[in-house]
This record gives sequence, structure tokens and C-alpha cells, in this order.
Amino acid sequence: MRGTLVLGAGIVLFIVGIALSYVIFFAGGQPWGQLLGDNFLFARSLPFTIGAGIAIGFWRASGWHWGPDQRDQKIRRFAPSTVLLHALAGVALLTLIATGGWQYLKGLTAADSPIYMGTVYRVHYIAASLLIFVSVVFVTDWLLRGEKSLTIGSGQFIRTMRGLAHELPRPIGTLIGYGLGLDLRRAPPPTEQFTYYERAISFPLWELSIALIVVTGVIKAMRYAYPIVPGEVLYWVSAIHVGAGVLLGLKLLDHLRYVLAPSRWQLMIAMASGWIPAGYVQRFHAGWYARITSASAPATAASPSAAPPSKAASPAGGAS
Amino acid sequence: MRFVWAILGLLYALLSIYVGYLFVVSGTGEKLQQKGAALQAAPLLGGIALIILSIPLIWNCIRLATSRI
Repeated sequence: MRGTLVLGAGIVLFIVGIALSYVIFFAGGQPWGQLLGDNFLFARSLPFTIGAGIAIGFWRASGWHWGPDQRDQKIRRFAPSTVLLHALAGVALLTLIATGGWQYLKGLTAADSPIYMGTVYRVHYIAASLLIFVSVVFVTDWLLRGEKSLTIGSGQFIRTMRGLAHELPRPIGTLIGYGLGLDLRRAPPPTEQFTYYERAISFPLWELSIALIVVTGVIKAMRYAYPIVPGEVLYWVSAIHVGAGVLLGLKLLDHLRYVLAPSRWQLMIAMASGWIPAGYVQRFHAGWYARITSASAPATAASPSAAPPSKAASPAGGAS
Repeated sequence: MRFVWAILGLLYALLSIYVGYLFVVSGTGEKLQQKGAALQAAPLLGGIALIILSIPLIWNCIRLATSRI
């Protein structure tokens, strides 16, 4: 009930905030062109976008409890809303890379743009709003639920490094093992919901690059509405924003390289459908499979028709 | 569906190589040479990284399209 109230308040405030921004935008009180007008609209809408994200994240964390859902030899890896939010983030990210790259390359090559740059910036702002919204929803939800399946986890560093060293190509894995003094003759620790590469390398890099791009982008966008940042600082903020944009492009290349490998195609399907074959989980995510089966076995024995959900084995990304 | 994704991945990799090439050319060009090594290094290193990281993606896309799953 409390979650629904917060959700309602967040959505109402978001609609009122955006509506007010548009009223000011269309009132024609300022002699701004499209570029500056869009910038102000984006800057003014940001607090409401973030607020709506927090409200939806709170609602998501307080109202949903997924368990180890199994059906037809398949296990639920992602909640439907996670699939949707991930898709939205993907679309936003691609649009941001395309429009941001367009702006950077235009300046770098001193070429004329066949597309009006005001339109490029407008699309950039819309995609940025979407990415900020999705990021805030995820972060709020994960923080409130204590979701840590995509992190190394406290006290798990050495174990994770050992798993990572076994997952990576042998020369790199051996180098890590030698550098950290790991015993690679031991059997690798069983993989949980996410692989050691995803938890130790891939997701932290996503967090870093998205945090950098969002923080620097917000400072840049606010520079006209709130001109409090000195010009010299803004110069470096812009430089970091461009660098983070290139880092995001590189991260997307690595992410696609990882999920488009034939051996991991089932993970790609799971990101679209939410489901993953039980056989695949048993083979490649043995730790997760063991937790799911141990959590559901006693319940199944007690009531074969309805296995109650267990928070101990919430599906990946937190049901994420 | 995996063929569609293989083609999309391939397109992104090829586009990244082209953008990386533009970065490298700009980084070594006259305009940035006048602005110092710091401003030259960013597009140069970024361009090289884009080209290098595109290669494994191309390889995986080809494997995805040709392998039996």
C-alpha cells in the first residue's frame, strides 16, 4: 500500500513537473532557440525524472517477491519488468552513443552535419532522460532489496578472482592467478546466477561508465539553468563526458562480444524472454542451480502442485 | 533470430571500426596537433581501442551465424 502511494505521488509529480516545464517552454517568454530551449526543458525535467525513477524503484522493491520460478524444464532468470527495463536502457544507450558520437565527430572532423544539430541534441536529451530514469529505478530497487547477485559480494573477492581466472582465456587467467597467488589447480568455484566475468569485470565497468556519463552529462546540461560551475571545471567535465561516451561504446562492444558467443546464446535468449533452460543452468551455473533445487525440493515434496517462492534464491538481477 | 543478432553485432563492430578510424585520423591530424598531446591522445587511443575490441565481436558474430546451437 505504501509502495503504491509513493508510486502514485511520484507519477503525479512527474506529470505536473513535465507539464509545467512545457507550459514555460511554449509560453514564449524567453527568446531561446530550439537548442537552448531544449536544454532548459531537459534540465528542468531532470529532478522529476529522477523522482519518478525513485518512486517506481521503491514500488518495485516493496511489492514484488520473486522465487525460483520453474516451468517446462526452464528457470526464470529475469523478471518481465527487468527484461523491459534492460531493453529500454539498451535503446537509450544506443541512441546516446549514436547522437553523442555524431556531435563529437562533427567537432573532430570539422564536417557539416546533414542533420540539424538541434534535432540531434533533442534526441540526445530524450535518450538521456530515459537512461537516467531506468538507472535510478534499478539502483533504488537493488539498494532497497539488498540485491547483490551482480556484485563480487563481501568476503568473496578471492573466490571470485579464482572463478574469474578459470573463466578467462588461459594466459590471462594464469597471469591473474600468478599475480594474486591463487591456486588454479583447485576446481573452480561453481558459478552463481551471473558468471564471475559479469560480476567482477563487466557489470562494474557498466556502473563506472554509466555513472560517469550521467554525472558529467547532468552537470553539462545544468550549466545554463544553474551557472554555478566554473568554465575551467566545465571544460574537464566535458572532456570526461566524451571519454565516458567512448568507454560506453567500448563496453557495448565487449558486452555484445560476450553475449553473442554461441556458448552463451541461451543467456541472450533469457534476456529477451526471462527464461533459461534448466539444463543450461545445471551445466554452466551450477551454484545457482544447486541453490534453486535445494530451496524448492522440500517445498515440492510437501506440495507437488505449488512450490512457494523463496527469497533465498531470487532469480538473477534480482528477479532483477 | 540469432542471424539477425549476428548481423546487428557485425554492423555495430564495422561501424565502430569506421569511427575508430575517424578518431585515429583526427587524432593524428593537423587540427589536434596544434592543441597538444593530451587532446591528441584521447581520440587516438580511443580509436585504436575501438578497432581492437571490434575484432572479437566480428569473430563471435561469424561463429554465432555459422555454428549449430
